[in-house]
Amino acid sequence: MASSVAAESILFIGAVIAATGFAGVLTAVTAGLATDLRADAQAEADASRADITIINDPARVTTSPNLVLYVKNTGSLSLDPSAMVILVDGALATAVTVDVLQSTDDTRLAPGDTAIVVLSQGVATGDHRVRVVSGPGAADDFAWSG
Amino acid sequence: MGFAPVAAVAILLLGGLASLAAYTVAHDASQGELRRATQDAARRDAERTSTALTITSATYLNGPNRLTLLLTNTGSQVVETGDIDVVVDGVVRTSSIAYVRVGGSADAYWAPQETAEIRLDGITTKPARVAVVAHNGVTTYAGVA
Repeated sequence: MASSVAAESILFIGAVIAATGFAGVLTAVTAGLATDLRADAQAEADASRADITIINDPARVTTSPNLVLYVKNTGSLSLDPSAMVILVDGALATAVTVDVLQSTDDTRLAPGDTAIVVLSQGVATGDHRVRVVSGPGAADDFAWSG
Repeated sequence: MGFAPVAAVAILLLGGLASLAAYTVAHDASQGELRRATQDAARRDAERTSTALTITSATYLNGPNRLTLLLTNTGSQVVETGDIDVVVDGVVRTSSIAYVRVGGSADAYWAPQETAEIRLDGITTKPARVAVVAHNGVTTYAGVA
């Protein structure tokens, strides 16, 4: 009888340990999924909230010696203008200076703010297209003939 | 049947319920955030579509180096005057704005059909063309008299 009780106790402990381990793994995996779900949803929400508009006058674009772009935050999310990716006629361009108008913080482009972006290159007379991509999916295209 | 399998099933059920609860909370929160962001984007798009400005006069005075713009809000949206940009001959001159007055007052909001006056100082040469950009990117252009 004593051995029977001992055996049942061992079985019970073993079953509890196994079940607890499995439940723990299940909970941990689900928690990881939940975290990823929140992160993905937040990224998508940020992409919906972010928006920029290039407000250059297409009839008067400063193209030499450096191309100058004016980028306005027309979304509802603050952006980092120093993280902008700029394509000029499909080629990657580099910004020399980024200056947020009427602000001392050039790393934050709040909704409604405008940044002056001076590129390291100019462009020749002719037809051109620029794409600026900033932050979580905010992008705008601008084309002109000059 | 011994107590061991009962205990094991009970623990597994509890673990399953806890996981389901955690996932459901995360899913609901995510869907809510996405819904709010989508509504925000739709609101901004609708606002942009119904925003329109018209420059009724653009006058330059050589002596005081002053450019004065009179505009009418011809859309159906309120325009935030604090986020207006002015582009003069292709150069952003927002920092040269001396004031934006709506109906004679420095109001933050410019209602439909109201007239606004934008004065820019420090414009040293007479410009040919000016553009006014609203807070949502809607732009209007005019030549300077």
